[in-house]
Amino acid sequence: MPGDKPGGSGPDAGRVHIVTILVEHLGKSFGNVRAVDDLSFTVPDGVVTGFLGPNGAGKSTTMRLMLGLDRGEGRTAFDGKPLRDHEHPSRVVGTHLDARPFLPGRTARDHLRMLATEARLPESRIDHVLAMVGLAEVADERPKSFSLGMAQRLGLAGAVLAEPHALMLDEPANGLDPQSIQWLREFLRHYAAEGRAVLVSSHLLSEMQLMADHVVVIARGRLVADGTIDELVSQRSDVVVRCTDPARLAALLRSAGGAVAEEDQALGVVGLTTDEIGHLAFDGGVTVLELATRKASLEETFMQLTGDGQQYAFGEAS
Amino acid sequence: MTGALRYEWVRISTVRSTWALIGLAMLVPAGLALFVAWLVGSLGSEAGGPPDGEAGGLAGFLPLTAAVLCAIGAAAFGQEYRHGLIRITLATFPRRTPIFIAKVLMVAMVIVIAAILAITTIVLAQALGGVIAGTGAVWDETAWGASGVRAVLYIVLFVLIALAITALTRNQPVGIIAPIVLAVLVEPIVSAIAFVQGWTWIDWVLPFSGGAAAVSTDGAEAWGHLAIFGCWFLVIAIPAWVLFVRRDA
Repeated sequence: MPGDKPGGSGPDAGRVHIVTILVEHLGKSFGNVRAVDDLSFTVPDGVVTGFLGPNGAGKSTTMRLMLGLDRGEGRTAFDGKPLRDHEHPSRVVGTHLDARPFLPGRTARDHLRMLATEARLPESRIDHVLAMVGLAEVADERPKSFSLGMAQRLGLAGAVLAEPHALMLDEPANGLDPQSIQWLREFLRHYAAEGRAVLVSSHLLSEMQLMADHVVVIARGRLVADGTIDELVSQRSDVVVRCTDPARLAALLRSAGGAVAEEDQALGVVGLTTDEIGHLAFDGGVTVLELATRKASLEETFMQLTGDGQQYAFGEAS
Repeated sequence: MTGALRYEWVRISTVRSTWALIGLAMLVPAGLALFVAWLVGSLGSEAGGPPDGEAGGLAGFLPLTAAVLCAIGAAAFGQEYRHGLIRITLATFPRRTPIFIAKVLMVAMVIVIAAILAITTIVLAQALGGVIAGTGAVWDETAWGASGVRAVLYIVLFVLIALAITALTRNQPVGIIAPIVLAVLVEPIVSAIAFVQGWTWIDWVLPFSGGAAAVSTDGAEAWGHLAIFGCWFLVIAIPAWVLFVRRDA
């Protein structure tokens, strides 16, 4: 995909927006199943927000509730008010919620022409966006034969067409090759860096670690974490200590307020820094052989946070 | 509202099926009209002249025209639900009533033009059939004036009922098939039973029988039938609109 950047010659180019998506007490039930339950969070401008959760956690339902596509409880404010109260909703939020969000018999260009009508965008903007996502050569072809990756690009083109203040993308990296994923990552980071809010749901945790600055994690429709990736990961990181007298050091660390897990030939310590542990060991006459911070990965953090929150979970692998 | 109308115009005009169906609606009934006019003209020549009104009737071809065009009405909602486009449409136009109205208005506008073209083609085909049969061109004068207006409105309402059924059921095939099955199968059976029972009023309240009567009768009675046909559209469209506004996309 070409390495073009967002922005450009559209009607909103150069304007500064302070946009935050504010989600308050969203709720939705399907029969007896509570899909989304009292969910509140914010999507700040200027950063990419990752929206994480196991399968069936309620991510897609939440996005549809935010946009008013599904009826439920709570409210979502875009730039201070519900989407329906904005004069030009397509300039407020661009969405890409389905993998193939177009009619197979309508050309890619005509699909975008249709979306351009609400914001009265010129034809030149359609050409610009098609070139940006690398679909200029197939602009006048019907997308029924598009690969999943091409379909995702067309969906992204539709989302950014009106240069909206916010983007909401549901699994946009599905079907993309590594080069396209890298392009998407850079594109979204640049888009957010221009002062816009970007909410991206994904189950690709390693990709999300590279793409997102802020994450919202849900499980069974409930919020389980909301913060920067560093905050979440550091909360679940610990310090590994290998020493000559683990039992004595463990007692010293516990008396100093640390939580200690005794492992094979080592201790895992939460609540104390490496400096504090070093001083305690020295004062207690314990020789430290190894002292290191063990940083949790986003995947480990995610697994700890969501726990048994996956619906329709696999059985044990034999 | 103008944004929704522009959106609907691009939506309806950028799919080939719209133009293909309009072409079919012009060609198929016209072809049939040509054949009937030729056949009646030929038989009439042998009998010493064409029987009055037999070859020149427009009303008989209108249900076929409407049945072909009702796929355009059904597609207004059906295509969007089938391909998930409805979520893009409603994210672009979160106020749902204007987009519902825009769909109805834009389909009605396109069908008015398609109906005028189809009726003109039928009339020309009937005249040509008479010429080929050697009895000379027979012009159906009912195609002009109030009768012609009713013929166009009958086709428009037929298609809008297909649109409303699709909006109600979110199912495009049902939206296409239901009006045809009602018009061709269900209502004739109900009408026959009613005739046996002596319930003559029932033809006034059956939608498609009433619609057909609107183009095969004249004067106030014809307009009355058309008004009842229009009421049936509202009977289906109003709950469809309420559900469209309230339910999940």
